[in-house]
Amino acid sequence: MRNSKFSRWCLFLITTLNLIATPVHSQQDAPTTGLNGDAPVDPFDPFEIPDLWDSMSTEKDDSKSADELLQEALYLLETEERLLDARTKLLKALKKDPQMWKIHYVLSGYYFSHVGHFRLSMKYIKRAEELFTEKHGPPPYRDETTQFEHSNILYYISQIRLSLDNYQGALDALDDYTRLGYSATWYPGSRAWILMKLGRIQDAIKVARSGVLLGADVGRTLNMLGILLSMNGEPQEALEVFRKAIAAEFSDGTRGQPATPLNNAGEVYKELFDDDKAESFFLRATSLPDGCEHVLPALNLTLLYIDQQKTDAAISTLDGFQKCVAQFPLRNNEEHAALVHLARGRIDLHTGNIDRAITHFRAAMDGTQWFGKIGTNQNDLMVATTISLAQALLRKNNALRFQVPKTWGEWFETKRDRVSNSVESWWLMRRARQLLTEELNDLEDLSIRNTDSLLEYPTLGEVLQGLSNTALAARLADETRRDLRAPSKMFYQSYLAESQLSQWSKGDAARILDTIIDRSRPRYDDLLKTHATLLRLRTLDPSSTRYRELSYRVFYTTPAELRNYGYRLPVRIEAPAHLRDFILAGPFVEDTSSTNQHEVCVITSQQKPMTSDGNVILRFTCPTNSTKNRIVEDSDPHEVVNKLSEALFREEIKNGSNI
Amino acid sequence: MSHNSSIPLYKTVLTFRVAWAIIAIFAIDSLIPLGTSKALLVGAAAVGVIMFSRLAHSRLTNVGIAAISIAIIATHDIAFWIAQWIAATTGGTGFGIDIIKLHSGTCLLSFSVCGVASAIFWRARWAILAEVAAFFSVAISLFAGHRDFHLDKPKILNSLAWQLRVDHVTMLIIIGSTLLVTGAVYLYCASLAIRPRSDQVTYQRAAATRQWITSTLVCGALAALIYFIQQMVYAHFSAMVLARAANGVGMGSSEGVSPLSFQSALGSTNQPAGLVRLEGDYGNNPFSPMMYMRESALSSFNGKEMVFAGRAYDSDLPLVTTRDSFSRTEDAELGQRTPLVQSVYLLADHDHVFAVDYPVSIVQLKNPSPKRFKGTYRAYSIAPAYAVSSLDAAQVGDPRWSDDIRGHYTAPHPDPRYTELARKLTEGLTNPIEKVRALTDHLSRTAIYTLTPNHNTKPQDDPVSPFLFGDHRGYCVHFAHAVVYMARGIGIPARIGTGYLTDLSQAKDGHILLRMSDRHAWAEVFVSGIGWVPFDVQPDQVESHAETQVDSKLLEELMGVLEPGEEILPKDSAKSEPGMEEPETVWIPTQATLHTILLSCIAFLIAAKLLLRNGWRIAPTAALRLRLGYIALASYLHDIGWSRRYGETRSEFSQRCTPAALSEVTSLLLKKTYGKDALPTHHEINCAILSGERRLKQLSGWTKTRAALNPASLIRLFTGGNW
Repeated sequence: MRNSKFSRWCLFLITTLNLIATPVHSQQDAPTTGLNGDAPVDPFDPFEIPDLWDSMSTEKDDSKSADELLQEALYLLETEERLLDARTKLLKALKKDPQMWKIHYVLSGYYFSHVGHFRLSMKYIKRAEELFTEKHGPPPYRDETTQFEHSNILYYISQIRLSLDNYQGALDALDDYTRLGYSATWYPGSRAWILMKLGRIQDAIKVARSGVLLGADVGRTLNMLGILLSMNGEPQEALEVFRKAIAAEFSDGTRGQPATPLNNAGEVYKELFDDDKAESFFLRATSLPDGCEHVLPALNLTLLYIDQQKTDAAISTLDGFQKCVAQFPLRNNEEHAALVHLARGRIDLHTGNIDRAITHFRAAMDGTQWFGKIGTNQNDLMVATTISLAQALLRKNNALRFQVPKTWGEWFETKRDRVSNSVESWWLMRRARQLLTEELNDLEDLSIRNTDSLLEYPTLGEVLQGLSNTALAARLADETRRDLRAPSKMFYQSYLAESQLSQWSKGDAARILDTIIDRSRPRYDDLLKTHATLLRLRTLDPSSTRYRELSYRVFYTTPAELRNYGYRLPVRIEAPAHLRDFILAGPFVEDTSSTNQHEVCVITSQQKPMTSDGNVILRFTCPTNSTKNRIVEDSDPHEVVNKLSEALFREEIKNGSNI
Repeated sequence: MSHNSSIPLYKTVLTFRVAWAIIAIFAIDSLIPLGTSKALLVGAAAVGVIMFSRLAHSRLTNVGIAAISIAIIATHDIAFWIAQWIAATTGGTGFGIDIIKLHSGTCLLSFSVCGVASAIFWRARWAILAEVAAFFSVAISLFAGHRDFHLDKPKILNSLAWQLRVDHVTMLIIIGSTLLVTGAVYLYCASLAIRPRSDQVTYQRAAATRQWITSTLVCGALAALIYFIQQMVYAHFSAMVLARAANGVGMGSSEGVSPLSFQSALGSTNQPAGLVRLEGDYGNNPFSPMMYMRESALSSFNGKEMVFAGRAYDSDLPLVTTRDSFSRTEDAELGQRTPLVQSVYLLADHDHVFAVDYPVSIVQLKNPSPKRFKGTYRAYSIAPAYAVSSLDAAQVGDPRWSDDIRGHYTAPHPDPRYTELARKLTEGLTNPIEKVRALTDHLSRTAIYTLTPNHNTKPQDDPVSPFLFGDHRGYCVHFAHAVVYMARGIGIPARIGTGYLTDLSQAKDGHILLRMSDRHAWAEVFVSGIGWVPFDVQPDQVESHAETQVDSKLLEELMGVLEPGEEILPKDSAKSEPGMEEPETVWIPTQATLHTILLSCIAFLIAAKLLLRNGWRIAPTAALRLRLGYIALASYLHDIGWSRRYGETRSEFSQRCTPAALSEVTSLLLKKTYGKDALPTHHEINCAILSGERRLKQLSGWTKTRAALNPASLIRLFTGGNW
């Protein structure tokens, strides 16, 4: 969920603070390039930034008053979006008059809205408040202008505290606001958002409803109410409210931000398992100017596509977002980098690019991500990344298991890597369980597609199986009983089956998994189906017909997952004995039982195993699916098997590390 | 404990083991958050060490100890299994018990690992060797991130180096030698301790005063030796390592010698190189979001590679040191440019200034933190503002150039293959810009970016041909050379620009943190009426990534140092606000703190010694006075080398000692302990003690000095030894 109006509001407040002036100078005054011949006045003075090519005026900044500089800065900020030029002017103004509260106020707004340096923003606004009080005395104030100015300072304080995760402090600032009898259209929406962050959903709903009744900033307040209703388990009501919010935002013209309620409505549809509608809402959000530059619609759409195993669509969604964001070179990537790394990592993981996935997940864990403007939080991201990284390490181990070592050194390195990956993934899974149960309110995210959760629900069972079997079974039964959404039952069943598998109850697990494979929604829950299929393989003998049937089902749709989960592909081998051993050390198992030769793919070596240049050629052919046919060649028989493994079980996708 | 004299050593080893456990827990937690209170984990580790050490000294067999460990773990699991079963049968659907189990499991892990390791240590002779080997293996693998010149790994090394304001190599050596000294001290102490049941023979090495002195001297000598070796190693290798770490691009150049390295770019680290603060918007940046900052240019071919040509040719370069100023007039013939002011704060040594092309003025700036920044200057550039697409129809070269200069920039490589390839790639194209693009596009498609091209060339060989006509594996240095050679081969004036290429999307408020990994070399072509324009290769195939995220916390910290507004804002502005805490850093005591700690320790030791010697004077009861008086005299004797031997009675000891300072006090003490008479009076006790003191005062000045300075009595006091 997203509430992206903060920055707009801050800019709006700056301009409405009786500070905005008509442009002092027009663009036609822009001088030619070049020095005007004067040496810098004092090069050792950090404030002394020369205005030799100042496009605002032919007059030097030194001769201008602080107020004039402030007006020019506001013009640059609002009209021209020349942020750094504006900052320079503000700092010059500050040097000229350090006691002028308005300069501190605007600098605070600049660092809050444009830079995201919240601590510095807080320093300026607190100083602005001090200077304001020195000038006007302590509140309450009788004069309307002074009241308005003070109310804006309080608003800023609340917003900056919110960004610094000081929710109670933010609420206290708004309480002061109310106590002093101030009112503004943004107030209900802001108060409701802070109450929501404090977990006081019912109070927040009351505030938002009263805001809607009073007609306060309708679009934003309705959006807020929609979010709250959705969190309160009233999705239909939430959708109705979002529809009104979207209409209100569109009616607001260029100032409106319809992408926010569109994205939020999409999230509700996703939660209701109406994937088509969710996709269409996310697509609309990403196509709008205010939606393309924000990460959440793109992220939600990508995660939806990952659930549906639409890899290409997921990649192009993220590419589109990053292209859009690239238009704003001064935008800091802390707004989105960690989330994009998470999504890119998952795509890489499901396509067999495991090393790159691990790099992405580690980057997501190390990176800084702001959460003030979005409903999700650090713990949601941390738990999702921790689980994904643990899964990636397990997958890496499975891939290493099928790597045919060339030398003893390579064999030793592989073993060492497998041990270290096992220990790390064990610890990360354990840590994820701890975060899920302790930090995320006793596993509240177990409710499938919980809003704001970044978990990959189809594979969540991998982490849940480490919890106590009895407690998990009881909780899953409870969730199944309470959750009225039919498709979610399959997910709970999948977790139960995975837990049973870990307790060696293969029979019960197999029955449940067969149900999931047969009944899960085609096209929408493909990842769940694949995961269930791969779990089912664990209960089967690799020489059985069922194993062959299921493994090929996975191989033809998402080949990377077969090796990721550590399963071998049944094949017929037509190669000399020594080469056969190498092939069987890779991710293949020989199928000798098949009577129908068209059921399995064939690996054949060249008639003469050694070609004229000494290379070994392996040909992989599938009678029923020629798109999987591959030919690999290498001088080393170890390497040729590894090459075949890579060619079959790793999908080439564009490197998306450019975040 | 089988022997009293080994108790101090036993306790020292226990203390060492607990200390190691604490360090390990904190170190692991800083690398991977453990999620459980560190106090609990440390407590569990300490209990494990003490409990299993006691078990190791008991009559239990090894199997018995193993059984106890297994029983503890089993009891833990069964208890939780029962609790979970009860919770499930009573209808509970929460995971409260799982949460407790996760925490207690972590504590149990800490307890078991430390405990079992201690038991093995006491029982097996090989344990010390195994422990030391394990310790050094972990330390080496942890701090061996630098082995490929990634001197910024692990992250803590980066943080410490940054905070202590030393380079990474120095930091690495400091950490390495500290670990070595600590390990050596531990090894020495551990080897002194008894082994209760190894070979069923109890052996011990007495902890006599002389041995403590020897231990101290040995440890001191070892520390001095290691420090000496460290200095030697540092002096020998630091220059070479730092040169490698500098990535070879544009660092350490001197006239006529290429500053570029073709062998490896493994020094591409995250180490901060400088901070650039844009003082105005640069909206027309044609390379957005990237920005080129040029330091030097290479336009002369020395028979092997491109090198700096001297001021006669590349006159657009400022080529002044970071402590000098520079000024030139704007070139009126070059258009489509915009003014740009940059303030540069250097975090690493640089020979020459760098700035966005082309600087017309460099002035020195006030250094806001001389300890932090190695130099500061402000550059006024006339920066590119053209649209890259507008270059399509442009011509190359400067009409004002003399034939000599034109010939200099278009001199082809003697190897005709470069020209042949260039002609082949640009066949059918007439426009020179299109031709250059065709060359860079070809390399972008075919080249493989790698930090380790590993071309086996001889020093005199052309280092570019194995790349361009070989495996196509290389990095920016190879790409830039290849483009320049090919461009010159078809008559296009070209040179190599060196400096930094930075990503503005990682900037904050116009502040750009430059890292060593941002150092870059690129090809440049002179476009008529515009100037030198970068034509960079962007390879599709990337084998190794030097790309890393900018440390945003460091950037914010530096912004705080530079922010002019911070000078005006009161220091305590918003200090009470939650969330205003500075980013977490590794705590390093200041010099003043270290002095205070040192002085406090010395004061404490002096006070303890004074109390040891004179405590009897303030004892309220006669019995206590007698005991403390005995300890005062015995401790004095201990400091000058007289200690009670194993099995020796106090009476025998007092008779053996010369001077016979203890004889009277010992007889009173024995009378008090074993006699039936009343306690001696205060007067009798005072007389006996003072008599002993008088005898001690008759000793030589050297002996009395030894008694005053020797810490042996204090060590015995703190380790609980008997007098």
